[in-house]
Amino acid sequence: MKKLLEISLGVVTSVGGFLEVGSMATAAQAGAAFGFQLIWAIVLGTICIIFLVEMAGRFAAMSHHTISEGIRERFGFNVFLWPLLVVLLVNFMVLSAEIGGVAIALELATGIGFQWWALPVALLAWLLLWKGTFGFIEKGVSVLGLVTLCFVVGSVMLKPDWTAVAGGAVPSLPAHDAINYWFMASSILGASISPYLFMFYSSGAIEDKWDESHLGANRAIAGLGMTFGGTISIGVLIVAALVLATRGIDQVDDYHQLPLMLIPIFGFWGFVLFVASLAIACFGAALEVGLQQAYLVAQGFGWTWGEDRKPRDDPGFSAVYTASLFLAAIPIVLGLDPLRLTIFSMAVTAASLPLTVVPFLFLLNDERYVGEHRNGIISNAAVIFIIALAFVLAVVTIPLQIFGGT
Amino acid sequence: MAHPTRAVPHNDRHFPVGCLCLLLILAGLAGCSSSNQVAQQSRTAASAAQTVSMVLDAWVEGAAPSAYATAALHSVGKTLADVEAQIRSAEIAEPAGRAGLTAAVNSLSVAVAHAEAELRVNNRTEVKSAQQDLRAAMRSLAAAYTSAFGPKP
Amino acid sequence: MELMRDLLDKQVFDRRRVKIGKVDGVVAELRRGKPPRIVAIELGSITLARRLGARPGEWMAQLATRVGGKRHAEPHRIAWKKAQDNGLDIECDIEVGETSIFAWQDWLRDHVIGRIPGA
Repeated sequence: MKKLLEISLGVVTSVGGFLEVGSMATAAQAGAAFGFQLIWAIVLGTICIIFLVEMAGRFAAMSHHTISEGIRERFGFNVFLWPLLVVLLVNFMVLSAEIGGVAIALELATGIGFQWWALPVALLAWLLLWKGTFGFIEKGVSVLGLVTLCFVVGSVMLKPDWTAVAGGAVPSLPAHDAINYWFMASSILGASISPYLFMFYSSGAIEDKWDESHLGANRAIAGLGMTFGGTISIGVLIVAALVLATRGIDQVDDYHQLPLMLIPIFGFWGFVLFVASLAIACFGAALEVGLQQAYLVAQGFGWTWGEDRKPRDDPGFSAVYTASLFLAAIPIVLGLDPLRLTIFSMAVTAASLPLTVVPFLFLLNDERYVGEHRNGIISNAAVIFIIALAFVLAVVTIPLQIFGGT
Repeated sequence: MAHPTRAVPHNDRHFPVGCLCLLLILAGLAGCSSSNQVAQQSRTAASAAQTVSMVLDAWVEGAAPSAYATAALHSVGKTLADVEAQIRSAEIAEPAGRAGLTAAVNSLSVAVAHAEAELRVNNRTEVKSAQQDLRAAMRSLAAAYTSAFGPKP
Repeated sequence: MELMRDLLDKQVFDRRRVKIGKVDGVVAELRRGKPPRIVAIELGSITLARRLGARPGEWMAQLATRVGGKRHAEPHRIAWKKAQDNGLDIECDIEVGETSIFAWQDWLRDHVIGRIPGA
């Protein structure tokens, strides 16, 4: 029974991880511009992240080390420096975008400009990390995050042609705006396959003191949890396709357009639900990315770390998330458009994937870490596929952004 | 004894790479020809106009708060002004077509600004009248687009 | 024993299972005709900087001296006879409080983190 509860919590936790400003914005843009055609990108991204998350969890449960620790220990500091610096930079942008997402939600709710909300949001996030425990944060955000199910409910209420939806899950070539189509596909993949997600998951496994007995739960949480998040993203896409595209709005490049998705379905409550969904999903993600910055640095250098500890017991760890949160708020305070920043950071994430995904092939086959639970043929095939995909994305994303992105 | 002079540039190793980059950039830019840009901007204007229309409908039904509606219109208004400036400055083969598009986008901007002003003072009747102007402007944009580029994809 | 694989970059614990850092460097004695003998492991930013190159190592040493004083000009060394390799980690029979490894963390706690309420 306890395991069941753990699994359900784990599943719901994907909301703060999988569903955040990046997945919401890219899904909305894709739905408005290409209808159901890009559903396959969300499906593909979800399948990839399921494999990566399961592996990250298995690695942590068996070795009691996180993926970040594994990368340094297995490849040496000189090699580790590259993923370290790149991920710190990418996470910084994503964190900024998440703070921006909460700030936009608050601007929509109150009329006060998003620039004014950036520091208060960073402060609240900091306070929760400073005083809260890992379990409290995990459970709190997860339960509140259930509000995002409104997109799934909304998409069902719109009575889409489900065969057309299923058709969208199969990759197809675009009828128009090819460059834009492929740019959106790569951004969706960057939003789904985020390094902070699987790194945070492996850190979380250590925080929750997982061991070999958790391997089954790990598989369930990875599979169901990421599917849960992916389904909500598809819900956002369907809603955008049926509400915006059908009314001639095929370009989502202004965050003011986003609440319009739910208003025709739920009336004024649609506005409220959207604001709440955006605020909670982004806030949860801000907590996770902020923590992950600290995890990455502390684990990379061997410091004491742990969200359940008092800050004075792990000063290096606490200093990193404190600095990260307030530094990441600055671009938003200065007025950088959060929607633009989001799309850009998703593209950069996609381009940076090889650095964090290649280690999986080595770490998960190393029996000194995972014992007899090394990757099977399917997992290894999946990793190789993801690595190939990562290299393709690394090469095409930035040019696509230059020539086709908004 | 004379040394043979080098007839090729010293950086001939870099030359092919630089040439390749230039070709890629040119290929990309070719995709962004002037008339393509004007078409793209017009579609942006149409999408923006529909956004305004939706916001106003929602506000009239009481489903969108005034502060949000005003901010949305203000933001879209800036987009439209930007589009108008871009179309004006683009050089395409048919100045007549461009003039039609510019005029249409301009009347869109005017309608949006009118609606925004009436929103701020909560004047429902005037907002509804602004909606009519907006719809008329959207129709004229669609007509100008079709005559310049053919039907929308 | 493959130094790179088995020793470098492993997590180091002290006697009380406190995480004190990673094996940033290894000090070995070269012997003629015999494999090198490990003398000590090294921790700290200076060692790490040296792994990136001689010049970064010098800069880091200068920075450490300027910030912390002459005693911080050398990296932290733990004698190999006090260390035990237990698979994935290295456990050392020392008390981290008796070394200066946590000097910067203590400074951070006393001057920054500890001053913020709720720490």
